[in-house]
Order: sequence, then structure tokens, then C-alpha cells
Amino acid sequence: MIKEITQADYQEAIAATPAGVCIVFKELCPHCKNMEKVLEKFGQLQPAAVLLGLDIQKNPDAARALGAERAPTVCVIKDGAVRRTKTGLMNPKELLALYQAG
Amino acid sequence: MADKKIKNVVFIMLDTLQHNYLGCYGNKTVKTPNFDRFARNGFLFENAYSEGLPTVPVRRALMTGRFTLPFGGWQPLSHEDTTLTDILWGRKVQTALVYDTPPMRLPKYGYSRGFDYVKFCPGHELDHTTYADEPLDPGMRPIDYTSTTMVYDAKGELIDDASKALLEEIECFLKFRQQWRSEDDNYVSVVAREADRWLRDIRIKSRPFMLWIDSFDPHEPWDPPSVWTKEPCPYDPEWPGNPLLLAPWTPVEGRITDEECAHIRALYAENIELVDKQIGKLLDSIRDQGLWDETMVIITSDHGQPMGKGEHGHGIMRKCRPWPYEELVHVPLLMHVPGLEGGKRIEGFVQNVDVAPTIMSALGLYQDVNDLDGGHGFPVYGCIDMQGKDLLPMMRGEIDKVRDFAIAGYFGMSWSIITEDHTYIHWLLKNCSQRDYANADSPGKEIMKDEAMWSCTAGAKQEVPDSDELYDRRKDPFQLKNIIADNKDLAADLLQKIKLYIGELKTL
Repeated sequence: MIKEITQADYQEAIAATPAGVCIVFKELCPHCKNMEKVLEKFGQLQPAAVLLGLDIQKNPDAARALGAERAPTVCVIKDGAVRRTKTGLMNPKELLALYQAG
Repeated sequence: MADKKIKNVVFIMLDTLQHNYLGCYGNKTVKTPNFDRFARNGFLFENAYSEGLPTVPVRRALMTGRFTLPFGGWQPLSHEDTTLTDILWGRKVQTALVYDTPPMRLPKYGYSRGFDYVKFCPGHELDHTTYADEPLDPGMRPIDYTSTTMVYDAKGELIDDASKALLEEIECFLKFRQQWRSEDDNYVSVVAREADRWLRDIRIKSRPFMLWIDSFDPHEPWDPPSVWTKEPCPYDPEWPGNPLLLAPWTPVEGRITDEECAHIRALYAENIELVDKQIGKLLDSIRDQGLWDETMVIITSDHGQPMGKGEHGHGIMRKCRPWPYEELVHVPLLMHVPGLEGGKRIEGFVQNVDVAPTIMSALGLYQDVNDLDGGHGFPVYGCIDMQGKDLLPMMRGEIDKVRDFAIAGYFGMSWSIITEDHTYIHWLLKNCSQRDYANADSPGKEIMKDEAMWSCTAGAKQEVPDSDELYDRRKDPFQLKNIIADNKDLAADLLQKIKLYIGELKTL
């Protein structure tokens, strides 16, 4: 289950996340919908990981602050901070590797 | 379940066998009685498409059950790929590969990986240089086996480097061919005979098996029996010129006449007749050995062949451009399935990636492989990465389709989406040559790396390029009248659909 965050609460949400992934998405971007399915499968592999989502069009400043210029971008969060970002498509195994490397 | 009757699988790949040259696919001229009988009594898939072209990525998709079009083109099997033989190892099923397809034999490419038994039969295209040092019968001159106007200009000089390469290739073929004494020496005859020898004399008869037969015929050279018996080609008996063993990889305009293209197609048809005859004998042998009622048999091809203008090749000879038109990407797919009543023609879209899961399902290993343990401390692989669909439920009549559309193309160069009503072609790099796509470092690799393909900025919109093409598949199945200018919205929808699907495949 991906919890949507916004400009108003993203800093607080990320700071409160010990380990997780935030996807920066665009509502009408088909590849973002593909990546949401990837996040759900990833969540089954890593049940303890917190899953967050941020709409790049509604929250451009927050997206920029997370290092996301394009959508979809995934941000790996560890100990309350973004450690890695990657833009584009990937499969659940690739996301898991990115998460574990972070 | 009916498929419990299946003990073995024989998979027969016949390279470059264009679907509409077979009687069972509607051809009224070419004699293919064995394929037609096989289809009448088994299952014929009306809408089977190879996804990533050409030869090498098709083998990769067949062996792994994974699409290649989003990921890579002409490249080796990687350690990350899990093939049918990787999965079947340690599970009782013995595996054998009998082949003469040189692109499967490319050094370091690894497409014979994991088979218990491998027999390569030499001499076909790419392997022809094996015979370069043999002396040639002085009665055989390479130029007598092609058209002088394809090779020399008006001044009597070689037209280009392709002319020289063509003569050298023909010379090597003749150096091999001069040792043949009858049609039993033709490439496909040797492969079929070696496959039969494995079935009769080499395999362990107490174990089930998966036999992969990969015949490069009816791929060129166009060298059917009439070329050697000096008789008229039965499909073009009035032809006055040389036999056309090979032609240059080139657009045909100004280089190859319409009559020459027609004669090449006639020789190709005669080659198919020989392939039908030799594979027919092999099928008879499978019956004679008592294997028919316990062996699933699959016959297919990797692609067709451009050989001229219009529906025959959109103006090119051989695969000199990465063009995914119908004559190339629509392939025959026929199956015999023990325990299932045949005589059915299936309309639903299927792709070559569906073959691997179907084979695994037939052998009873599709559902449970991920739970199996090798039991000896080494990795044992399962079907978890396969993206194709098991086709047995469709053949049993349990479902009508496994997908709503098919895709085809060349990695990083062209994408096509084929629906019931339309085909749409999206060009990434239209005018590349075979040297570009048959190269692990093709320009398409850089294109596909571009993240713009897979991500978008906040205000980005989908634009349909002017160069893309749209066809009415019902009225114009061979894609001769581009209707994109009058159907922009439909084109945009189809471009969106194929981008979304290729993107989805990257996430699976």
C-alpha cells in the first residue's frame, strides 16, 4: 500500500521512515502506473519497507528537493533520509537491489 | 488433465519459413502436403508473431520465454537468462539439440547451452567459410549461380563490396555443394536424418526427452533440387537466366529486377517443398517409432523473408533493413498435442515467447518448478522469469486468448503493435543495415538507454512522429497503404499502448 505524501508533509514523512521507498510519479504517466505495480511487488518482498508516493505535478518543489526531475523516479530512504534515486523503469528484483545497496 | 499423456517434446524450428507460403496458411501454389496434414490433425495458430527480430533474439525468446524487444537484440545468452535446458537439468528430461543454424553456433553466444547432446551440421550461411580452402570443381563458376547485373556494372566492374562478398559466399557454397550427390545431402535432409538418428540410436529410451531441431533451411542459399539437376524450377519453369543462389542484401530498385525477385521467390518455394518432404519423413519416423501418442511436436519459424516489392518485401531483398512488416514477423506455428483432439485453427494472438512455457507445461514442470530442490547443493532454476503464456489452456478450449495484441520489431530500431484491426509501426531507427542490428553494440542500444523513453517531465505530452505508419489490418494485411494521416487519434492510442506494454515488460 503506497501512502501519498505532499509538499506539506513530505519532509516529516521521510524523516519518520527508517527504511522504505518513495516513488515520484505523474498521474497520467503510464510508466508510473507500471512502477506502482513494481512497488507493490517489492512491498511483498520487503514487508517492513515503507512505501510512499509523491505527485510531481502537484508538488514540484518537493520533487525537486528529493532529486526527481522526471517521473517515475524512485527514492530509497534509509534512517529518515533519501540515500539513492533512480529514474525510469525497473523490475522488482532491480528495485530490491537498489534498495539493498542503499 | 489431457496433457498428462505428454511424455516428450520435439520442437522443430525451420528458419525463414514464411507463413503464407504454406498450404495450411492459404497458399494455393506451394506443395506442402506434410505440413498441411500435420496442421489438419493438430493445432494451427493463425496469428503467431515473433517479437524481437531477427534470428538470434528469436532463439533467445524461445529458450527463455522472455521478450527481447525491450531489452536487447543480437547478443549472447547471458548468465541472467534462464533457458529451457537450464530448467530441465537434473529433472529426468534428457535434452538434445540437432542443428545447422550458424547464428546459434556463433562463438561465445552460447545458444547450445545446457543441452545434454549437441550435433551441429556444418556448411550453412555464416559457416560456409569452413570450406573456403577447398579446391572448386572448374566446371562450377560462382558468377553462373547469380545474376551478372546484380554483381557487375555496365563497365564490367564490381558494383560494390556486396558484389565481391556475394561471389565469395557463392564460391564457398559451391565448394561444399560439389560434394553432394542427391537431395539427401541438402542441409535440411542432413539435419532431419541426424535428429532421427538421435531418436532411434542415441537417446536413453527409458527417459523422457526434449529434442530441439533447428534447421536453417529454407533460409537462403536458394538451392533446391532443380538448381543441381539442371531442370526448370517447377514454380518458374520459363526462367531463362542463371540459377539465383544468392542476391545482395539491398533495396531491389535499380539492382534486382522484378523478374529476378520472382525467380528467387520460386526457388524459395521449391526449397520449402524440400523442407516439407524431409520434415515429413521425420514425422513419419516419430510415428513409426511409437512415439506419436506420447510426444508433443511443435513446428514454427523465426521469421519470413523480404524478397522484392510490395507484399513480397516492401522493396528490399533479404533483411537489409530493420523493417517489421507482415511478411517478416508473422510466423507459422503448428502443434500436435497427444490427448487433445486436433483439427483446430486458433485465432488468438500468440508470440514466440509462449513456446517455452507451453513446453514446460506439457512436461508437467510449469507450475511446480519453483518449489523443486535440486537436492545436491547446486542451483536449480524455475520458470519464474518467463513472460510468455502457456498455450495449452487455449488448445484445450478453456480460454479464447492469452493476449489482446502482439508486438514485433527490432531492438532499438522499430516497434510494431498488431491488433485485430490495425498494425502500427513506430520507427526509432528506420534505415539501419543488417550490420547495425546484428551487432551487440548496435545504435539501438544507445536509443534504448535514453531515459526519455521511460520517463517524462511534468508537462510532457505524447506526440506521434510523422514517420510512423498505421495500416488497416483487415483490408490491408501486408501493410501497403499507410493511413496514419487520416487517423491521428488512433495512431496516438496505439503508440501509447505499445510504449506502455514495452514499459510494462521492463518491470516484469
